[in-house]
Amino acid sequence: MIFSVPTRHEELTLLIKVRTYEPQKIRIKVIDAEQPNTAFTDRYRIVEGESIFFVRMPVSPNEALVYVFNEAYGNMQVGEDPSVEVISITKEPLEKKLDVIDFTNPQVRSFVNFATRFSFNAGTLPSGTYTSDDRQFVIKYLPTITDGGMEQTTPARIDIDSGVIEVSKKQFRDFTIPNRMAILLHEFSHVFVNDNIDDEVEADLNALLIYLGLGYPRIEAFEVFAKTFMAAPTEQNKMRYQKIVNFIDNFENYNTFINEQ
Amino acid sequence: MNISKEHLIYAGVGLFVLLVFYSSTKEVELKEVGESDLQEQKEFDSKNLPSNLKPPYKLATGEQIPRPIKRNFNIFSIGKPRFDNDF
Repeated sequence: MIFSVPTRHEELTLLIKVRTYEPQKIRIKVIDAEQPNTAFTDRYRIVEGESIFFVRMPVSPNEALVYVFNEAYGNMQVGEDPSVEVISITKEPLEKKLDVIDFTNPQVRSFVNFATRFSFNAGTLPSGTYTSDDRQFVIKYLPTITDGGMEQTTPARIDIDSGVIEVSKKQFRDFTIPNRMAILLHEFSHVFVNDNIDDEVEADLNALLIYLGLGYPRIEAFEVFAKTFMAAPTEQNKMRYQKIVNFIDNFENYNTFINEQ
Repeated sequence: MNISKEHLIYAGVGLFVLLVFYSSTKEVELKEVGESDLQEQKEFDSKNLPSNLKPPYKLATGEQIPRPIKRNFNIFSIGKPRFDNDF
C-alpha cells in the first residue's frame, strides 16, 4: 500500500498505525514523491495486533509517499493483502532536544546546515566538490572511495588534517537521510568536536548527541552503525556498537556521558 | 451562579490549551496511490526547495578548494593525507 501524505517541508513526526491478525513482518518506507533516491525511513517490525510506527522527520519533502507492506508478500494495494491493514496516519509535532547541541559554536551551526542540505539532496547531486556557505567545510562527493585503486568499504571518511570529507556516492545514494546525517556528523565530530581526534567512540557519541538532539530517529542510527560494523565485525566495533546502544537508550533520560574514563 | 472574571480567564486559558493540542495533532486522510501513478511523477527541481534544504554550493571545475579552518595544526599534516577509515 502506498499513501500520499502532504508534509510541505515541515519538521514533524508521522504516526503510522497498522493492524495484523497474527505476527507479521511489516515494512514501512517513507520516501520523497518527487526527488529520486530520497528516503526518510526504511524499517520493519514484527507486528501482532495494533502497532504504531513513529517516523521522526526533522526534514521532510513537499509530498511524502508512505509504503506499508508485509515483507512476505511484497507491496500490494489496499484490500489485496488481508494480512495487514493501515488504520491511520497522523502528523504530530517533532520532539527535539536542541539544548544538548552547542549551537553557540558557529562551526556546529554551519556544519549542521551544510550536512542537512547535502543529505537531503545526495540522491540527485552529481559527483563533485561541495562547500558550506561559509566555505569552512568541504565534501568531495566521489563515485566511490578508493585507496591505491582499491575500492574501500567505508561510506565516508575525513582527512584528519585538512578536515575535507570524502563521501561514496555509490553507498550514499541508497542510504536514508537520517543514515547520511549520522555518518556526516561522525566525520565532523572527529576533527571539529572531539577532544581526541583519533577516538572513534568519542566521535560516535558526539555525533549521536547532535543527531538525536535534532530529532532524527533512533532506529536509523542503530541501523547505519550496525550495517557498517557488520562489514567489519572487529572486537573494537562490537564494543563501539554496545556503547552506541547504551548511549541511545539513555538519551531520553539525559544520562549521556561522552568522556571516556 | 456568579461567574467571576477569574473563572472566565481560567476557561479562556483551558480553551486555548485544548485548541493548541487539537491543532498540533492532525490525522491525515488516507489517500492511496497506485504504482502506475508513480510513473507519472513530475520532474524534481531543487529550485523549488526552501532555502534550508537547497543543495549546497558545488565548486566549478578548476575552482580552488577552500582550506577548512583546522582546529589543531599538526606537523604530520604535511605530506600524505591521514584518513579516518573507521566509520
